Amino acid sequence: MDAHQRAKLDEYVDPEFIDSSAGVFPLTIIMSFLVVFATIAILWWAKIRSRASRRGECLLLCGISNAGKTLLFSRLTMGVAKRTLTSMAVNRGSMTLENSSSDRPAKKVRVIDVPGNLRIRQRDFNSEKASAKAIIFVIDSTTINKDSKDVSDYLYDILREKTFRQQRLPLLIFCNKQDLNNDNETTQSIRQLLENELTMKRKTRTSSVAVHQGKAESADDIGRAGKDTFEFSDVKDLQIEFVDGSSLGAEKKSYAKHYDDIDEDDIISTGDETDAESGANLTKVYDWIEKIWIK
Amino acid sequence: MLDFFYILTKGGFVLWCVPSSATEFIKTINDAIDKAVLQGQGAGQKWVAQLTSHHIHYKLDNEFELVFVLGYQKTLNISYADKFLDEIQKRFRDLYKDDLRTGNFTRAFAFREVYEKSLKETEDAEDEMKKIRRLPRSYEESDKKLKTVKIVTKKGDKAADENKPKKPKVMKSSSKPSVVSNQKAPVLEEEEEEEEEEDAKEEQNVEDQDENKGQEDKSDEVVSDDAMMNEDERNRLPLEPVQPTALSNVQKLQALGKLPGPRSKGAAATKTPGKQEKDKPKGKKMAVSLKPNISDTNELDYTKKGDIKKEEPERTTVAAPLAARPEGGDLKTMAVESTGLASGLVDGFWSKLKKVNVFASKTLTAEDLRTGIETMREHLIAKNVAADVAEKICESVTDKLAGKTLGSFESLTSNIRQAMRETLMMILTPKRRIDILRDVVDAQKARRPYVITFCGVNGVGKSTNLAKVTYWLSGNNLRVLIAGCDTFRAGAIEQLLTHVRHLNNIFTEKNMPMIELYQRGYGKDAAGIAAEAINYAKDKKFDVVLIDTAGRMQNDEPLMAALAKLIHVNNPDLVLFVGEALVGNEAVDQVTKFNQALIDHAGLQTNPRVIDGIVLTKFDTIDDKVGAAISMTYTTDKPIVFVGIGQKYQDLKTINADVVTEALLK
Repeated sequence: MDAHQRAKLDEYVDPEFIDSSAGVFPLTIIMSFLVVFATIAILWWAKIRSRASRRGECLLLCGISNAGKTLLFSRLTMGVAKRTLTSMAVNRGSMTLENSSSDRPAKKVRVIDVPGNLRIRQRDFNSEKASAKAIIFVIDSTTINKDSKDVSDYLYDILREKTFRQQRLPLLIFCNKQDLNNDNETTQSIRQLLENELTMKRKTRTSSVAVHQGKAESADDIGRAGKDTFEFSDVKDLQIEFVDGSSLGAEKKSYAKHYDDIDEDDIISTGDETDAESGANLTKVYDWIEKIWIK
Repeated sequence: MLDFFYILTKGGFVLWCVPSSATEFIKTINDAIDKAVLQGQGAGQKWVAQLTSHHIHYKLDNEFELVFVLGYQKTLNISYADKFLDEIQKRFRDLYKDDLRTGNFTRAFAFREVYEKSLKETEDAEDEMKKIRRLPRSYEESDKKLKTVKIVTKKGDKAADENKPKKPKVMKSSSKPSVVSNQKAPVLEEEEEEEEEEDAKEEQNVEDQDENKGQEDKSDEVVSDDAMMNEDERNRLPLEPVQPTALSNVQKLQALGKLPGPRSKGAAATKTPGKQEKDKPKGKKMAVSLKPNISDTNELDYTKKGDIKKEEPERTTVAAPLAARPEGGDLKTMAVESTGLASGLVDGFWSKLKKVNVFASKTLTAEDLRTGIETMREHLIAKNVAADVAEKICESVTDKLAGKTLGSFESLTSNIRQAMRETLMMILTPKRRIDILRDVVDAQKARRPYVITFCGVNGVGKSTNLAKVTYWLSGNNLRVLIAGCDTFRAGAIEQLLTHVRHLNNIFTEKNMPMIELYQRGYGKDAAGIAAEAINYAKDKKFDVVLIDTAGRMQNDEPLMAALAKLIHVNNPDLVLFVGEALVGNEAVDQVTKFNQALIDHAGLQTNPRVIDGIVLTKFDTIDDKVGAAISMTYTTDKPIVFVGIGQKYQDLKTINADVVTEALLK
């Protein structure tokens, strides 16, 4: 009986004509679609991940023109102090933090140097502020008296930034170029100067003429509301610290040698050379960075 | 000789420089970078530094994000600067391509030898060229010869008269293949090409068959008629019997002795030096065959009829609309995009995909950018930006984009728009923000009043905006004194009196009147009244003094001298130029002449005052034709301090750079 049935079956279904792939043909289509979708989904997810991971992970260097940001950037990322001119574009790099405790590997910190020129500062700062985890605000200690208005202008914008306040962003105010003159402003006097300026800035900014067709921004006031003078200790939303130092060290003397390029070796600081040797004084900055990234 | 040469990255790192140890040029270069590169004020990649009298040439390398800068003293005349920059750029790139691509900037670039060699080569080449050029032009080549010929052969055809001097210029411009400098619209381009071709043709004709002046005459006629672009006439021309009348005129003139007799100069449109030998025998021949021969008529006939016919299909008629022109590039795209913000969405997905650059990474050349930039330029001019300014902006955008590699999924138009947006934003962003209230605080500490002067041409709204500023300052509890230094216009003082009374009514809380008007009637010296007003303000402890001046045309010498005297004698803290937003190309002229007059009539001052800021008035009357803002800020490099948007006291705002840029690009 079975054989008969089988024979019958065989009659109907001639093995030649069974297209073995016919059964799976729709299956392959489905499989290929799934593969394509999966690839797209994975790529998209990876992109989102990378974008998200870039957010809020970078160290931002801000300051007005000629403060010494690009030099600090080269010190942090490359270890040398290269000769610099006015930056026209954003500098991106990364620095490795050596860990005192050897259990974790050296951490990589992304550094972004925003040009100080007022013309491009708006655009660059706005596009980079989303990715800031900490900000170093560089000030030229030798010219702070002249530039106090511009410096406080910039600082006011940073202090008022809503995203920073929500993040409780750490802000380091780095008084650079301490090596240049002897009668520099100390950190304390700079702090006082900035506080005075910002007090006035609060008043003048709120009473200045409105921007034509500007967005109705809520008047975010910095410092304590109701208090007349502004003090950095009032700012609760950001963690502000003042340090001083200098990013230019022995390179100052060797600038001539560095560029006279008759069989000159690449001058690369190996990292073993301590800052004290090179004359730069960035220990406090390094400490601060470590404190934030290696918590 | 060159004072300095720097190669730096756009991020600010100096890769190589000469001289190695000098730091005295840093300030100059920083200034140049700020003005010329960022703001785009360096015309054609050149910049004259104000303070140190250096000429600075720079070149942007958009592929590797580098800048090449060189500078030399203004007194020298180094003509090979641009060529040298190009040369150095090429060599540097070839040598260090890999390092630049990976961003390895810490290495030392051993470039000095190559630099010295290049410099020597370029200087030698330049000396060679100078030696060649030092030989004076022979009479054959000179323009004078051209003119004589023209006068002789003219039968009173004035149109051709105009054409002749135009021709050498057209020739010169046609010989320049540079695309960037070709700023004419496609329409004019066609015309020029037309004329060029005609001229080339005519040259040939003239050279080949120039025994007869009449024939030249005809060619002139042809050229002049071509300028009117009438095909039919041109076709008809060769058949017209022009020759006999021409000859008779010439003969008549010669008989009268008004013409030089034997014309030994050949008819030469533009003869190259190599063709001089050909000239002389032809000239002699011309003198001989003054009388028409039948055999000559054949030579009169334009044998290059084929050329004429050949031209027609080549050139598209002028009447063809811009969009229909068969040009590659994104012209259509630009037309679509410029009609509305949402047009990008209207385009289908596939057409967008076609436009974008999907796979290959293309390097942008000036040729690619040309059509897009052209359209952008016309768009800006349509938005009331002054023509010169629009041209310079387009040039700087071309510089920014030339040599840049397009990433995948980037289209040409989006790049152009982005670069244009950045340039416009940078122009509208001030170099230094003017904070009047903050400066008033400083002046209060120094126990002197803060003085603001309003100047401008007639009828722009100085007095009205002065009243608005008074309203704002009074609202911030500052005591304001208005100095009525418009001693010319009827009713000026009364107008200010009315404003003062009105404003005092508004601010009646204080005991003493906050606003006062200091006036001495009409016809007196404005500078003297201003000085007295400032002294009065100091005595009575006013915080701010606003000086209203009479409107004056920028080319009115005595009035401009009077204004300069007022400003330099009284030295106000802020000189505001009031300009209306309706002005078009005039804006550039007004602002330039005002600045120039202030500098010229500075007297014994070492630092002449110039305009410190701009007040842009009647901003509500223009819809989105906001180009005047760009023209004025570009020309002066000073910020727009206030914008007047109406005729009430509250209608005073500051400029919103984003909104203006978007309106310009819409």
